[in-house]
Amino acid sequence: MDLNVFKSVENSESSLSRLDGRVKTVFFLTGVVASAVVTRWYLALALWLFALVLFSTLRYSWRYLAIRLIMPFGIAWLVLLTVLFTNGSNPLWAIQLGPFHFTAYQEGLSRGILIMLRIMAAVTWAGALSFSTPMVEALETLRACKLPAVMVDIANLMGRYVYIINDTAHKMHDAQISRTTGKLSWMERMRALGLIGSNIIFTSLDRSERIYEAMLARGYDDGSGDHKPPPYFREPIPSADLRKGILLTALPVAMIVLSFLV
Amino acid sequence: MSLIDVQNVAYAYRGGVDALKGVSLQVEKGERIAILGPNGAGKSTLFRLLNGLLLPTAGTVAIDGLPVERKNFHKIRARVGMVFQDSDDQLFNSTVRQEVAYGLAGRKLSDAERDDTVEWALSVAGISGYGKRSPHNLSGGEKKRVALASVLAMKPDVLVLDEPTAALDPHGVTSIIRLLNEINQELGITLIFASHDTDVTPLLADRVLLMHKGEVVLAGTTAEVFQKRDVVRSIGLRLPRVAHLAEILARDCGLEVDELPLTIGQAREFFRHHCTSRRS
Repeated sequence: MDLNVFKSVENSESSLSRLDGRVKTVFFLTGVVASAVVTRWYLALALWLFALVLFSTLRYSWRYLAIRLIMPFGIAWLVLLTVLFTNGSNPLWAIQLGPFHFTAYQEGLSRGILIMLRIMAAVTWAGALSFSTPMVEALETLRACKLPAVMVDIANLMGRYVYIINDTAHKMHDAQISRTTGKLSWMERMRALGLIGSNIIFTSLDRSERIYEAMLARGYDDGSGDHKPPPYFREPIPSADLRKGILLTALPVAMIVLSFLV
Repeated sequence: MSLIDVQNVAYAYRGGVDALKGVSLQVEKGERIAILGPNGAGKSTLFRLLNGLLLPTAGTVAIDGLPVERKNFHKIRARVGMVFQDSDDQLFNSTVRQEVAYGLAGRKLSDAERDDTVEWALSVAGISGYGKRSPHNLSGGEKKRVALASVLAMKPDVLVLDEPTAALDPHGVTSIIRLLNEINQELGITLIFASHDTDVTPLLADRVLLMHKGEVVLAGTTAEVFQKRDVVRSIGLRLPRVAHLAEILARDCGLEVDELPLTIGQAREFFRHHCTSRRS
């Protein structure tokens, strides 16, 4: 496989993007793990802010990150609300909505904020990884870290399907609205939505299958044979990159240690 | 007033890629226009502006005097039918009949009127017996006809076709060309198509707009544009094969050629004329 494929970065102007792919992947994934396991809300908040600072160094528009994170952030807020009203024994305040009575608890608030910040931090770290590191590099690193091949292959497949589904959805949406010449009833809209939804899946499956066959034809071993890492991954990590990586990774590791000490 | 009036249109994609830079185009009713250009010339972007799928970052687009703006989208889309390059992206209903009827959903038509319109569109597209079939199980040429029928059912004034002959076998190409010319001549529908297939263009276009890197580099009748061989070649396109062959033969035989033939019919006349004069 061509060396340049693995050396390529999404934004070569950024010093973070220029780091070795293995170093970046380990660093960002440590950040994801740290975000998921810290037990103090302020540590989760610090990790989230750190991930935002890292993203800013990549020099992408914040809009791109916002688009990618809007759904997980929505889920994080939903989790906060659910935990707030269902967890704990010390009431903070109560709301009466028609026949329903909701009580917010102190424990629910602190636990909900912690979980929400953990989700937000983890997805921001993962987002920064996706913006700074080509997927092949990240997957090869996971493979090199001896993660089960099934897990890596599933991650690979998911990545491929997500991009194809997104592309197919855009094209079908264009085709649909280009033929919408009047106000549709709610039923008509729901019917069209259902049809497009199912067709997006079928068309994407079909396209993914063709891409998979093209990958096989170019030597992809689908995890069933002995996987040979690409040439780039057989070379040692440049020592400067390694030093930077250790320094950077020390921060999320320190957060994990700190959260168990305090 | 032109049917389509594009004035100094520019469009930049997110990230600052300038897809169109000051493009102007006027199209009259019943015309057949080819937009030729290599990949990345801005053809598809221009088409999306005509249907309101995109709004220009500068300049104006109007269809029969109606500006392409958000408030006019439904009216614009009823008048400008768009056939996408890949029919698989356009067809999403479970039967051909439902697919063709989709564009009529927002109109106040009785069931009988809707059925009649669907039948009419299917027959014009030459797929009358296909109503109950799934569009996904058809051949490439048949899918293209279904895509065409689904737009024709809306009775548009203009058909905008992105690469109408791409990925079709030779028989499919011939039959789509014939069908599009019939639609133009019998129904008076204006045709605008994008292509980089220069062999198809003389069979389907009266006028040609040559685009390169978001700009119009040459415009004129099909014959006028293809006589500017250097310009055509400089943007990475080629002459129609018939014209290229005639150019080589004329050069080998030392003939002075004013106008190269662009189709087989024109080539026959061209060679008959020159052979007769040589013999005499």
